[in-house]
Amino acid sequence: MMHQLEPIISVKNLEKHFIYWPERPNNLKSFLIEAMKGKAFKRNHTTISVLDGVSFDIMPGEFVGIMGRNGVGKSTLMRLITGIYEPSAGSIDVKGRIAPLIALGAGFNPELSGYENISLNAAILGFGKYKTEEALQSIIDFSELEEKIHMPIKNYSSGMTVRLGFSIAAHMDSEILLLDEVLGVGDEGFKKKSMDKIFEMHNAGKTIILVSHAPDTVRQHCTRAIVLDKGKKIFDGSQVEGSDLYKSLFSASKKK
Amino acid sequence: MANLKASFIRFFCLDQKFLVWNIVNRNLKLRFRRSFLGYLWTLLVPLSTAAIYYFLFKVIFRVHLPDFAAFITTGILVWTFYSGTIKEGMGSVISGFSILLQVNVPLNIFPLTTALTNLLTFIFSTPVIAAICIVSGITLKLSAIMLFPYIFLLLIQSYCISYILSVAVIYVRDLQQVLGPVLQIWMYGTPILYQMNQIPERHKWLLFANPIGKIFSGIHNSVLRHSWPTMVEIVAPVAWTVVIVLISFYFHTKISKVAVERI
Repeated sequence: MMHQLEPIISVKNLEKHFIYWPERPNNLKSFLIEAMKGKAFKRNHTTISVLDGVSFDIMPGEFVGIMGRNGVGKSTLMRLITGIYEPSAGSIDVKGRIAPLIALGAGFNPELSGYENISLNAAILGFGKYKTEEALQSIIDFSELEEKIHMPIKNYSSGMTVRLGFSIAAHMDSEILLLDEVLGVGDEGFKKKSMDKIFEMHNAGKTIILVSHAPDTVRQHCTRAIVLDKGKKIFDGSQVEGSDLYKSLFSASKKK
Repeated sequence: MANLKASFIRFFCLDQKFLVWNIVNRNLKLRFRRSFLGYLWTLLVPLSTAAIYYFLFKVIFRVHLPDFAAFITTGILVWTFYSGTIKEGMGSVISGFSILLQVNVPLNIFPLTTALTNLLTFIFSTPVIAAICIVSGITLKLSAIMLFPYIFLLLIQSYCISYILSVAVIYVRDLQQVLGPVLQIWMYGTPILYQMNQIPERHKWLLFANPIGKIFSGIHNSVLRHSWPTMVEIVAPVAWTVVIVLISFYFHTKISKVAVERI
């Protein structure tokens, strides 16, 4: 058997910057006031560079931990991978469908029942009609909500909501899973069940990307670590070395 | 060319039918909430407005306009559909921000589904138009089906306008306050409460400058007066709709990805 050597995610010299006009009015009233003073169009903008030339390839079946402190561009990178943002420069090439387990319950409406929300949330995540119908019973079973599935979501506890959200996302037949550091959701019993589900999917050959600033989680679960700092990739290699490096660089400053 | 076609498909979310249907379905469920009361609720504002105008113009000012009750109810219901879509569509992207920042869904799906929801709400209200016509002694003839092509044009127009506004409001937050007065002026500038032949000759151009002016006269004539639309009642609305689609489509190709970063 030939191994598939094509990377499933290929990131090349990826740059992302955002432009801000710090003093530009964002409403008509102040715009008109400033226009009368004759200075509405004289503005300087600042460019904030969030990612500055990041490159890496992720192969199918890898379990990659991406680490970095708050504000280092992890969410921006995730939004670039899912296609919410477009790169300012460089390229990002994703071959496969992405299940964003960081977006559990996106678009849930509290007034509607859990059952009614399944189809809506599944559609938002990118399921098709047949896939949703096919997975419906299995989603309900996995969520352990039983007859409560017909209650409006506003009557759910936060644990129940997150269980349903996880159950839907986990049933997407996608090649890539995006996770954030809270591995496993809900109460202790369901946490184990959801972790088992993640590992089961990994064993089935799915690629998993875990975004985290907890080096111990990365060391424990991942097969590879990438460390980001100040918009650049500063480390890419084994999860043990990666999490040690991350600890030595950033944990010290935390203690002070 | 292939690129243009793909953008066009994305402009109308034709590649997202399941998602579009699910959002519309949710909106309808929330609006009607499995009850007849929910249905009456959507009619409450337009019908009470129509009643007020009827009292004002027919009883107080004694305007001579045949079938005034049916005339005004039809106009107000259609206007409610059009202006309601623009108003709600404008805020729809901002209210969908949490989804937009978590999942890769096109942002124009929000104004589009708002427009479709309002379309269905309007269609549910067409029996009311029919009932008022019958009560007023107007027989509905085949020409009344012209209502639906006109509604289609209004649907496209209101979607395109609300798409632009829904993105503009991300940048200029208080546009929503400005929209109210603009819609009010627009309504009085449209032959909803009066007939176009009541407009003085030197102001007739207003009907052409208004994208929906000829649509309302076309609807009134075909539903209430049994006359098929004249050439000008077809050409002017279609031309205006094409212009609005082109502007909105150009805007879509320029900004749909950039705007997400500003939410």
